[in-house]
Amino acid sequence: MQTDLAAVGSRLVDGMNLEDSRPTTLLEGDGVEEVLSSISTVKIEPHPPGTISRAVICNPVGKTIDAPYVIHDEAGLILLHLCQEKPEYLSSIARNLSKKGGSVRDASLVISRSFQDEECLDQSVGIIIQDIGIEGSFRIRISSDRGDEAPSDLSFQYFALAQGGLTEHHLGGRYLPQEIGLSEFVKLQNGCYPGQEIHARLDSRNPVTKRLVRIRCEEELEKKRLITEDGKLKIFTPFVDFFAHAIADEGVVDGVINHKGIDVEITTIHSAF
Amino acid sequence: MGLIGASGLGLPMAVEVEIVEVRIEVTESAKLAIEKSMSDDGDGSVLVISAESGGCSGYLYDMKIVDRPDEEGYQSISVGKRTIMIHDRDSDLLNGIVLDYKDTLMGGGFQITNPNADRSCGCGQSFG
Repeated sequence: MQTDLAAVGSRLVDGMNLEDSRPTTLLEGDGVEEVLSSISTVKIEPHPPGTISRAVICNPVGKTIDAPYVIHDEAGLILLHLCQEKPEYLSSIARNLSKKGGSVRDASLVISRSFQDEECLDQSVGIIIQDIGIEGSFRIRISSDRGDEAPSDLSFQYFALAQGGLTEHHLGGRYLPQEIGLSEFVKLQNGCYPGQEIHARLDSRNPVTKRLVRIRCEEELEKKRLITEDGKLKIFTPFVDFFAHAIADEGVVDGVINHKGIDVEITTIHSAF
Repeated sequence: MGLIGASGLGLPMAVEVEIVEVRIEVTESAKLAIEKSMSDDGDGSVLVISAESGGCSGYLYDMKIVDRPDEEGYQSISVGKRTIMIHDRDSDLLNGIVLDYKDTLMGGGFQITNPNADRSCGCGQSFG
């Protein structure tokens, strides 16, 4: 099926309110920031309630398991997981917190989160993470109130692939954080965390130059590897309505290329949500 | 008020930590080293071995000589005249460990071999 590239992606409409059903966890007790920092690529500092941080959790070989948004709340730290299932690393956190009377609790039933566009009418109270998505035109609303806005029937996978979000295909210990738009959250100064040895070695000897890009094209490409004059692209997600994500070599530039008669648009995802 | 507020304590636990009865093996060289390390400490002092989150493999061993903890939740293991204590929350991770002591110029000191570890760091302090 041939389509016009300019028209691809028109399903993201004004008034979008896409519910995100991935798990949410509350870490409560003394020293929660320190405990989370001990396994994250970036230090989580204590902040006033309502502040938002980001953690990235890797496995011992430095590949990304989860990259939760962290909401500083009066009750503790609320983790908005990006993985589909409750992650195993919570056991390690629970062990530490419970020695000091703290705990790890399931907050999925009391916290709602959704992706909204700027035109969405729902302005009710909650915490807003602004400027997400490739064009910075979306936001994440986190609230203990589900709001009145009717949920969108847009699929999460489509939205994530169209706007630069992380899905199960990116996580699960498959890719380095630098390869999936999370470079800004790798801070070697945080000390010893799972994967730090690998990240430090890469940083000093062979810095990661590959990057996450969005592919938009007229039709689904049969091959999962594109070879261009500037370098290779490895497509690692399925195509959903002509969008997919790929890891691109350093030399690959943003723009439209023609691959065997098909126009393919390449856009860098600088900060994945 | 925050997003969750005081209702946080009413939320269901996301993770429960298993508690088992801890058995550990302490080699003769480790027993001697414990006695030597604690020779200046009174009878109220104990050696606490714990597993903290962190390190390059996910968990980090920690050993401390402290006054016997007041709070509940510790298991005691007698080693000669001394006592090793392990928190219930670490019991499933540390059950079955072998505590050894190597008196070498490089890489010496207490060494822990852990049957529960799938992997460990080269430095020997981290496991997962």
